[in-house]
Formats: sequence, C-alpha cells, structure tokens
Amino acid sequence: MMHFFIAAIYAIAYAAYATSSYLLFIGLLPIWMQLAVTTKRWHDRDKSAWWTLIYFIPIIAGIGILSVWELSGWRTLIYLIPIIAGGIGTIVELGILKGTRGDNRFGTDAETSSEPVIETSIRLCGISSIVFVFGIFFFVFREGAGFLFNGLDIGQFLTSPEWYPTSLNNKRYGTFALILGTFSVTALAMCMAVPFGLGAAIFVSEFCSPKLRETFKIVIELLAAIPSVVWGFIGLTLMNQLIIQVFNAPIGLTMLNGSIMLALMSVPIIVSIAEDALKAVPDSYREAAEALGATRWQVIYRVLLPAAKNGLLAAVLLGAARSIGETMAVLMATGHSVNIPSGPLSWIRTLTATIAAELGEVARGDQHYQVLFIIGILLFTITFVVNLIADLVIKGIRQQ
Amino acid sequence: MNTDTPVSPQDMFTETPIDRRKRLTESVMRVFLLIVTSVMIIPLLLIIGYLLYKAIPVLSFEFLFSNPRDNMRAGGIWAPFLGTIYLVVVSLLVSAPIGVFAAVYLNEYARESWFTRVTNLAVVNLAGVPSIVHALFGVGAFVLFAGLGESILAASLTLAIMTLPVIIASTTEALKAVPMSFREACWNLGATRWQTIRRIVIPNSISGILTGVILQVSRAAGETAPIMFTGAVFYKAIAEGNLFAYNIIEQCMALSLHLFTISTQVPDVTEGTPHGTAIVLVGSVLLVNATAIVLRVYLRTRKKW
Repeated sequence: MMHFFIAAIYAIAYAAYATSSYLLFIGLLPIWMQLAVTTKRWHDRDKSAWWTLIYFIPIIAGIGILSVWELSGWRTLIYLIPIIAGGIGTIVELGILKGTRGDNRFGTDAETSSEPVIETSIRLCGISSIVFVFGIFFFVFREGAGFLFNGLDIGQFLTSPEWYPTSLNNKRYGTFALILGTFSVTALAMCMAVPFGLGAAIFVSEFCSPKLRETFKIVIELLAAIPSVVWGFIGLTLMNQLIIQVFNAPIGLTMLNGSIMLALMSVPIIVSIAEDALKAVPDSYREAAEALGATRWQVIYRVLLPAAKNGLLAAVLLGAARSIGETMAVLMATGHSVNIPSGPLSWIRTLTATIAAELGEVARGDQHYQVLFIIGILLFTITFVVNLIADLVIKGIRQQ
Repeated sequence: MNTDTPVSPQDMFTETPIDRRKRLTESVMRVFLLIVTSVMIIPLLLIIGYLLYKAIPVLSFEFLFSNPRDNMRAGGIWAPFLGTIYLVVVSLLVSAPIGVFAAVYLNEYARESWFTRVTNLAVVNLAGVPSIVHALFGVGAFVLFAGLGESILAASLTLAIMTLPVIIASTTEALKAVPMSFREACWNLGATRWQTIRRIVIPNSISGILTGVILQVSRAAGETAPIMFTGAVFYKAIAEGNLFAYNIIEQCMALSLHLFTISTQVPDVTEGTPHGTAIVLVGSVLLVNATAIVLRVYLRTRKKW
C-alpha cells in the first residue's frame, strides 16, 4: 500500500516535472524518495545499501555485450537479457521478499520499526480534512480578497438587485436578485422535498417489512446517485415540456422546474438522515407507548417525532444545504435570467449558476472575476453555517 | 347499555368509536406513507425509461467508440467517455489512500477530544461545500497557485478532495462494524496498534472499504461543476480506440460536461445524441452503484459475527 502510494506520487510529480521548469524542484523529490525507499528495503533484508549500485551492473553488462559482439537486427535484443534478469532479481529482492525477522545490524524488526512512519502518515491523512476545509476558504478568499477589501461596496453587493458585471461604463455588482433566486428555489424545493422525505423516512423505519425496506433503500440510493447534470438535462427537456403543457406557460424553464429537480435531489439526503434519527430513538420508548395501548401511528406522532425532532431538523437543514449548493441542475432548468422572483413560474438565476456560467468568460484578476470568487465565499459561508447548525443540533440529541 | 351491570368480556373487546378512529387513522396513515414512499420510484423509472426511449436510435458500439463530429452536432462520445475514465482513475489514486487512512485515524487512533470533534466536523463540512466552490478552490489552488494549469491532474485533484468525505464516511462505517473483541484479542497477543489494523481490522472490513471506493467512482464520474474550469474542455479531438490518448497534464473532454455542452451550447444537435450521452452517463453511474449494493449484500450474507 505504502509503495503503491509512493509510486503514485512519483508518477504525478514526474509528470509535472517533465513539463514545467517552474516545478523543477519536484523532480528531485521522487529521486530522493526512491533512494530512501530502496535503502530502507536493503536494510530490511540485512544488506548494505551499497547494493543499490547493483542497478548499474546489468547496464554495464549490456554495454559490454554490445561492445564485444557486433549484434545486428533482432539479436540486439540479447543485450536486454541481463537488464531484464537484473530487474526481476531486484524486484523480487526489494519488492516482494519480506524483511529479516527480528532485529538485524541496521535496526529493529522491519515490520514494527516502520510503524512510526505509517502512524505519522495516518495522522496526517486524518487531519487532511481540516487542512482542506481551511485550504478551500483560503484559496477562494485569496482570489477574491483584493476587490473585497478595496473597492467593493458590500452594502450594494448584498442589497442591490442590479447585476451588470459586463456593462461598459457602469459596472454594478448587486447580488440581491441572485441571493433571492437561490433562497426562493430552495424554499420551494423544500416545500416539496420535506413532506416526501420525512414521510418516506417514517414509513421505511416504522412500517416496512425488512425486505421492502431494503428495496426502498436501494431505490433511494440510486436516486441519489444520478448526476446533477442529468437532472438538469431532464429539467431542460422532459420537465420543460411538461410545465409548458400543464401550466400553459410560454417557457418551462422556471423556478418551479428547478425546484422540482432540487427536491428530487435532496429527498435521498433527507430520507437517510431522518431515518437514522428515527432509528436512534431507543426501542424502550416504542415499547412503553405500545404497552399503554397506543397504535403504531400514535407512537410515531406522539413519541417518536418529538423524540427525534432534532435529527429530523438536521435532515431538513442538510437537504436545504444541498439545494443551496447545487449548480448544474439550476443552471440548466431555471431559465438563467437575473430577476426578482415573482412566483413559481418566473425565471430566476442563482448564486451557483452565476459562477458556473460566467467564470469561463472573465479574465483573471479582473473585478468581475474577483466578484465571482466573493460570491464563492458567500456560498461557502452560507453552507458552512447551515452545516454547523445541523451538526450542533445532532450533537444536541446525543447529549440528552 | 345498562351501566349497573358489570362490563361483560364481550363488551370489553368490542370497538368503541375512539378505537375505530384510532384504527382508521392508523391504516389511512400507513397507506398514505406507502404511497409517498412509492412515489419516489416513479422519477427513477421515468428518467431511465425516457432517456432509453429517446436514445435507442443512436445507441450502438459506434456511438461509444467514435469521436464527436460536425462541431459536436453528430458522432459519438469516445473522447468524453475516455476523459471521464481518466479523471475518475487519477482522482481515485489520490483520494482512496488519503480517505482510507483518514478513516483509520478517526476510528482507530483518535481519542474522544475536542480535536477529534473538529476533525469530524471538518469532514461533514467538506461534504457540504457546494461543488462550484470546489471548482473555485481548484482554480485558485491547483490551476494557478500550484502551476498545474488547466489539466486532467488539476481537475482530478479537485474531484479527489470533493469526493474524500464519501470514502471517509463509508470506510468509517466499515471499520466500526469490526467488533472490538477482535482488536482486543489481537492486542492481547502482543501485537501493536498498526499490526492489529493491518492484519485484523482492514482484512475484516475490506468489502466495506471497497464499497466506499466504488461510491467515490460513481460520484466523481457524474460531477460537472468542479471540472468545468480546472481541466475539462468543450472539445478536444483524440485518437479513436487508443486508451492512452490523453496526457494527464493536458485538458480532456468529460461525459458530464459534454452532456451540458451539447444540450445547452450547441445548436441543431442530432436528435437523440444528448439522450444517448445522458443514458451512458446514468448507466455507468448506476452500474457502479449497483456493484456497490451487490457487494454490500454479499458481504452481509457471509458475515461471520
């Protein structure tokens, strides 16, 4: 596993090294790593690291063969024989055979002495998530910071509905309409997803036979697996036609269309987290209520729902966070026009879709470019806060 | 009813109006919730059915193995299909080891402390970061700061970080399922922590870990936003039938972005081509997920404890 990992880093680093002189120093890293690993393996086998020089023997032998015999045609392949034989030999010695048992003259038993290294890398991987979360904030912030602290009118950014980033003489960066678009489409999606999600969670956890439960869970899992761009495509084609025909609307790419797609995407999250919350209620609650003569529904309504209400709230919050962050489906299905939403059939535009549609067309370092990163910071902050609240709400139940 | 006489056993078990109402509510709710749950099967079947119905005329081996033609108005999906495979494989090489090790740390090493709580919170938040913000991060960190440029490598690294929580979550589940007594028995024999993990914990949870890795593949294959600005391009011609046609420091096409492009940016696309692209994408993703499900069911049947 370790060797595989190092080989992967080696390959990636080499690819970067091969093309960019800017990254020249990375080229030294794999050589050093290769030497370090090789030396360690020789020592594990109780041999001096000078054995590394054995790599050169087949090459020298090959050159010797070439200089002694004048080989031509396919016979030149003969000089490959010592190289291949030597290669296989070192691969077996270094790559396959186990280290000597117990301590040897180079140190303690290989299997236990490598432990500090492995444990350190496990610890490093363990904290990687923290590093990445901060990294995301740092790098997005870094690209947008210049304009955020120097020039951007934050009041106007948050409250003005005028989004004219490409206007020639009067550029205006007001995201109010976009924020409203994001929240209205999410709210409408939640109106649809929450009853279905919670209803399904209750049914799956309380009424189902085990076999039916498995079936429903598989369906929900498959529903969650459908990529967002495919939901967007369905919104663009099937749902578009449907809305035009049902509501007699001129165009079906509306807030309603987008929120139906978002609802379908967030239902699986709501179901799985809500079901976990219901499952976490101790069976003794159910038994106590049933012993008092309550029917199954009364148990759910009077006992389970109040007991699991924090978990259910967290499920709804995480579903909403998913909807707020969704990009491709809303980009394709909501009409993508900056507009203060006036009803389910108005077309809107969201924060995420704006970034996705415009980032490809701006020059780096431009004000417009930086504003898109500032929108990214805004989105990051919103979802971070929602996730944090959901986490605190869930932790709240555990402590009870 | 005469209230003076004691209640007879028959009366005790006959239904009062309250009982009847309780029973009625119960069955109404049961049926209602069954319907609510079953409704979710409809979109799944509807989508697959609709896409298949529209895509049947264009689906063929040639569709899969030929490049887009005529400014992407016709032809197949070879270049984007191969690009998606590249992105998935490279991102898997990065996120699988980090994700599994991170889960091992959280489950086997970390003690209950505020630091562990923060780490767990970071995993949850990493999963909650919007995909487009991951794209911005990829642009800022990999494309510009690390100097990788728009390349398969930059896009894959972005995807890897985005899908890391998937692997961490399912590996943690798998490791938790290994009974504590297994570890204790091993420690009692004098094994160290890492020996226990390597010889007992991981072999006993390998199917669960694999399930997580498989789910990562499905997630990475479907994502569009994170790769849009970090390495995927609208169009790039490559050799047909050559599995090594891409270089990981260059850009590539991707199935998900290709679907977005031909359904929104390109006019007069041949009828059925976008649907064909969509069904190949959905089909691959669902197939991968189905593999994970089968693996999980198989694992449960042969579980020894």
